[in-house]
Amino acid sequence: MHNSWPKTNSDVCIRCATCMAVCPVSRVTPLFPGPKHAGPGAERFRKPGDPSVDKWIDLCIGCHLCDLVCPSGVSISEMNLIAKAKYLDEKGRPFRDWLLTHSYLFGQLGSFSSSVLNRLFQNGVVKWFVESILGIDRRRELPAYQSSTFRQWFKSHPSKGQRKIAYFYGCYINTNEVEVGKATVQVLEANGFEVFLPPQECCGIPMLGNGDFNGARKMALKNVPSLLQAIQSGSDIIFSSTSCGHMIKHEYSHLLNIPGSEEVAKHTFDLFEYLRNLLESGNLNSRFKKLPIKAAYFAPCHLRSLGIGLPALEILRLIPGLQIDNIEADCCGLGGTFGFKKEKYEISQEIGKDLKEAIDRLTPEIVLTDCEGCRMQIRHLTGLKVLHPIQILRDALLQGIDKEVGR
Amino acid sequence: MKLQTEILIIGGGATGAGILRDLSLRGIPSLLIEKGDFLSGASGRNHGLFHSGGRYVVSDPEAARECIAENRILRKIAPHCIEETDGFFVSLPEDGPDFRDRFIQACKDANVPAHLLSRDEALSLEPGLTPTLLSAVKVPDGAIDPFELVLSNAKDAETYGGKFLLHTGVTSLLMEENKVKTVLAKDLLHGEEYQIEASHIINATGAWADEFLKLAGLRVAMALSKGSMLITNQRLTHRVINRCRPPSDGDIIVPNHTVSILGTTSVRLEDAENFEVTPQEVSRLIRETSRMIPAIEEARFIRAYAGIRPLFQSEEKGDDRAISRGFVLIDHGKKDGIKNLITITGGKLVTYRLMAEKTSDLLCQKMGIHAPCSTHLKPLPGAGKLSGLKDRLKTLGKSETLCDCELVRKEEVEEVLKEGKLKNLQDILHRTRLAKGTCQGGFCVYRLLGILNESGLAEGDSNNILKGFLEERWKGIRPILWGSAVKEEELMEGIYKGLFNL
Repeated sequence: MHNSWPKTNSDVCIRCATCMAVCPVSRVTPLFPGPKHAGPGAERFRKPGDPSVDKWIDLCIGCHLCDLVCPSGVSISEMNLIAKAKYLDEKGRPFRDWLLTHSYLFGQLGSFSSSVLNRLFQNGVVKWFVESILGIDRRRELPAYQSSTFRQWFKSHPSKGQRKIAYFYGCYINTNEVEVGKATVQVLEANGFEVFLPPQECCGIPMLGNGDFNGARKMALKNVPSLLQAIQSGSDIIFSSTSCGHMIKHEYSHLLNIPGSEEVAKHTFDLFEYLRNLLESGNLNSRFKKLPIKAAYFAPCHLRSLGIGLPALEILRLIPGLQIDNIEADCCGLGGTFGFKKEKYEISQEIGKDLKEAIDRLTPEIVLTDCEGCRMQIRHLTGLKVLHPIQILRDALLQGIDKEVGR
Repeated sequence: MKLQTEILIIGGGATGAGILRDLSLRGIPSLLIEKGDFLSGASGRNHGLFHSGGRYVVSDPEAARECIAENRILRKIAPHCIEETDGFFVSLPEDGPDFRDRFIQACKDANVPAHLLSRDEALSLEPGLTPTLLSAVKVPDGAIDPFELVLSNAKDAETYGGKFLLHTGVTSLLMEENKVKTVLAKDLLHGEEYQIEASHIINATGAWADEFLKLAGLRVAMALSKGSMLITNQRLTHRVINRCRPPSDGDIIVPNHTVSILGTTSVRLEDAENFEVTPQEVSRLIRETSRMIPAIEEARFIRAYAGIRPLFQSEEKGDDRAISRGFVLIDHGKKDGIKNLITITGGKLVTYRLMAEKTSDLLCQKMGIHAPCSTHLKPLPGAGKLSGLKDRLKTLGKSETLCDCELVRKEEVEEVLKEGKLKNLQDILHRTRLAKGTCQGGFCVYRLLGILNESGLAEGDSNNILKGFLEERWKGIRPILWGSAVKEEELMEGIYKGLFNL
C-alpha cells in the first residue's frame, strides 16, 4: 500500500548538523534524537523487513524547520513521517489519535450542540475522562464550537464582485473560528472578488501528521478534483490556514502523489501572498483606516515551509497606526494534534516557552498569526487575544462591520 | 627481550589468528606476531562476502566445495560475524542463459544449494535490480564481518593460552643448518627488540609470504593481485548480488552493516605496500555494477579501498582470476630442507578455519603429537550476541553517541579501550564501527581523541594523530570525490583547517 512513497534522498546529507540547531523538539527533550539522527542517520539502519524500533520517531512534530535549513536539500520531515507511519502501522494507533484527526466528522454536530458541548469541555469529570481514558491532556483547552458554521453564514451572504475566487477555508474556520472566514470573504470582496466555496473536506494534514497516509490520501482524493474544477473554471484558490495550504501545495503532490495535485498547487495561494500580489500589481485596496494597536506577529512553521516570506507582515505594515513587531521564535509547540496528547503535552509546552518569552518581551495587546494551531497555543501560553491577521486587515478596511472574535 | 614458544605464527590475518586459536585449543603453546594490527592485510581489505562457493563453482570446483563446507561450519561457530542475507547470481540479457545453466549444474556438482528465480520473483525480492534481468539464481551467500571474526579468534586463543604481539615486525631470521634458530623482531611503535625462539615457525603473512621467505633465503611464487572496492553510503540491496558470468570486474555487490560494498577489480602488482584505487577502476566498478543495480549511477560513495589477494602462482601464466583461490600449505622441510618452517597462503577468508586446521594438523604430524582439531565444533566467543542494524538503531538516544553515522556509543569505545593492548587510533577503528559511516570519521575522530586524552591513552601528540588519520582518510575519499562527497570534504576542511588549525 505504500509503494508510491517517494524515494528519500538521505544520501546527500553531509552530517553538518545545521538541522540540529533548529529542531524545536530535540531542543527541549533528550527523548527525540534530532533531525540529523532521526532522519538521514536512522535511514541507513532501516531495513524493509525489520520491525520499527524507533519509538522516538513519533516525537517529530512535523514543523519542517529542518527541511528549510538543510543546505543539501534533504527532506528530513518526510523521512520522519514515513518512518512514523511505519512505526504506528505496526504498533497500532490509539482511538485518541483517530478522534483527534477526524474532528471534521463531528464539526457539524459540534456546532449544532455547541452550547452544551462547550460547557461539557470545561467540566472536571469530562476533563478527567478525556485525559485518563482518551489520553488528551486535561490542561489543554478543547477548541470551542460556534453555534453557526462559516458555511451557514456564507450561504446567507449575498455574493458580489467582478472576479471569482475559490476559498479553501478548512475545518477549524468552519466550526470554531467562523470570524476568520468572514474576514477573509469581506477583505476579498473589498478587493473586488466574488468568493465561492468549492466542495471541500478536511485537507488531511491531521491524519498525515499522525502517519495515517491512507486517511490523508482519502481526503486529498476528494479535494483535488473539486479544486481542479474550480481552477478549470478560471479561478485561483486561496487558503487562510497555512497548514491546510502546506498540505495542499506540498504534500498532496510530493508525498501523496495525488493526480492533478501539481496543477492545484500552481493555482493555490496563501491569502496574504495573494494580497501581496495585488499590492505589487497596484490592485490592492489599501484605503486603510487608522488602527492604533500594538500587535505582534508570529510566522507559523507551515508558512515558513511555503517559502513565500512573511506576506501578512508586509501587508499589515501598511495599516496606519498599527504597531507590529515580528516575534523572533521558532515553532509554537502545538504541532497540530501533537500538543493535545497527554504524553506530549509537556514537550509541547516546553517548546512554547521561547515563544511565550519573546511575546512577553514585546508586550503586545494582541498577537496575530496565520495558523489556527499557533493561535490556540499562544492563547494557551499567554492568555492574550490572538487573531488571524486577516481580521485586523478587515477591521482596517471595514471598521465596525463585525466585532472581532477571539479569546 | 628473549621469548620462547613452541609455535611462532607470523601474520595476524584471518589465517594467523585462526591458527593461533586452533593450536591453543589443542593445547600447543603459540605466539603470534603481526607487524601492524590484526587484519592489516587482505583479511581486513575485502568486500566481506561470505562465500557460498557460488563464485567458484564453474572455474574452481575444489575451492567451491571448500567454501560451502566452511560456510556451513561458520554459520554455526560464528553467527555474530555473519549476516545470512543469501545471494543472487543475476543473469543480464548480454550474459545469456548458457553460463547460468552451467552454473546451476556446477552448483549441483559442488553441493552448493542453488535455486533458480524468475525475473519477477527476483525483482519482488530485490526491487533495486535492473528490470531487464533474465533470471537470478539464489545461493547461500552472506555478509561477513572480518574484524569481528578475527578478533573473536584471537580472543578465544587468548583464553586458551595463546599469545600475540601486535605492531611487531620480523626484522631478520637467524638460521642454523636446516632450521630457523631465532626470529628477530621489533616493536615498531616503541622500538623494543625481541629474540624469539620457537620449535616451529608458520609463515601466515599472506601477500608478504615471499618477502618473509626471502629472509630465510627462500622464494615462493606469489601473484599479487589488487582488488579495488567502493563503499556506498547506504545499503543498496539486502542480498549479495553477483553477476552470473565468469568472474570479472565489478560483478559483486555485498550489503554490509549500513553500507554496500561494490567490487572488485583485478590488477597485477609488484609491490604489496604501495597501491591505491585508480579513477579508471572507480569508473569501471560503477559502470559494471550499475548494470545490475541502476541506482548505483546516482548513489553516494563514501570510500574506496583496495586489498591484495595473495595468490599462489602455479607455472602457467594467465588471468589472475584463473589462479586457484584454493590455499597452499608448504612444508619447507620437504621442499627446501628448512625443517621447522611452514608457509600457508592463498585461500579465502571463508576458508580461514580450514586453512588453520590443515596447518595445525601438519604441525602436529611433524611434532609427532596427536591432538585433534575442535575449531569446527566450538563456537567463537560472542556467538550469542546480536548485532543487527535494528539493534544498533535501538541504542540511538540511550547514551552518549560518539559516532553519529554508525551509532557507536562512548561506552562501546571505552569497553574496547579497557581490553587494552591498543596502541594507535587505527587499532580502535578496527575494533568498532567508528568512522565507517557517511562522514568517515570527520565528526567522531576528534571526539574520540578527547576521550583518549582524558583517559591518558593517546600516545603522542594529538594533532599528529589527527593528521595521520586525515591522511589515511583522504586516501579513501580522493577516488570518489564528486557530488555530495565534495560537499562533505568542504565541510571537513572547514572543521579541520578552520577550527582545529591543522
